[in-house]
Amino acid sequence: MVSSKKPNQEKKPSSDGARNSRSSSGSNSKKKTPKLQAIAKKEPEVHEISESSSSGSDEPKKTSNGGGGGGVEDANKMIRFPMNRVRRIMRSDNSAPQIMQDAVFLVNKATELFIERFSEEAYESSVQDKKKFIHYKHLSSVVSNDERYEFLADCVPEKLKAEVALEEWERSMTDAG
Amino acid sequence: MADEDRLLPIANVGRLMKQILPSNAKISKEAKQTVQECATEFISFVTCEASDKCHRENRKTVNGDDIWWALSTLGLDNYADAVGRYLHKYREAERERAENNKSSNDSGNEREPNITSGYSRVLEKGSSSSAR
Repeated sequence: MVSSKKPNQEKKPSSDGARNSRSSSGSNSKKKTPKLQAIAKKEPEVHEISESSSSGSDEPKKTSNGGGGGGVEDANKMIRFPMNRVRRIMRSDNSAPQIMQDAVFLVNKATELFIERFSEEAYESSVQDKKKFIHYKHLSSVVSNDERYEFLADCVPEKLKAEVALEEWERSMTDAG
Repeated sequence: MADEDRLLPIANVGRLMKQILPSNAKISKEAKQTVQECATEFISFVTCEASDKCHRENRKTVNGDDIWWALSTLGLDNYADAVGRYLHKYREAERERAENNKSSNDSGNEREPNITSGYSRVLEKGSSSSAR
């Protein structure tokens, strides 16, 4: 008798938030806003990401430096974003004429970590807001509430209603005048 | 430069978010695009800081140590510590490749990876923190 359950069905409860590829030590608590210490505890999981990315990897296998050694391909398996694109972004508005490959690699990994942590905090914000979707406002809330993300203040400003913005503008003009 | 080229690929961003979040989490398209832009801004932010350091020291090449320093300086120590371990793996891979090239070419033009004191500090801290 064939079981009606699908073998690939993995509807795990989200209470622990653990992913299959990230069998964490249980430090991935969603109960509290992650502080720096909690984030630091997640470091062991960082290793697992590198291993899982090699199995589920679909990043392009091209090597930007053209090296054909197996070592560089293994290094590329550790990253999620194309090195060429990361390098292009690094060079786009900076005056650094030369960027070493290890610098691009570090930025690649750091960006991956940034997205992970930013996403987790946004998810917590959406949970507190009792919403199913992570919306823009959850991101802007994270940015405005944490000084670590101050550099994103221009990128992710809080949305205001036009009337509120107008009131504030008029007030500022009155104060100035 | 097309808009898509100046940002990280949104497919990669979305995939990464989906992997890190619980399976029942849903991300609006606008939120995904915003994270894509924020990640790109993050890259510029860190690179700018590292690049400024190079300028102050009259160097033209930004290396990994500058990036590591920038992450630490910008209050992103936890990133610096975490990527330090990846850099170690990357260095090993590079060394292997250089050794393979040297043995085949015997040209002796291998680039010595300049592991600086910054990294060795990270590795020391990493070995102590990994005991947690």
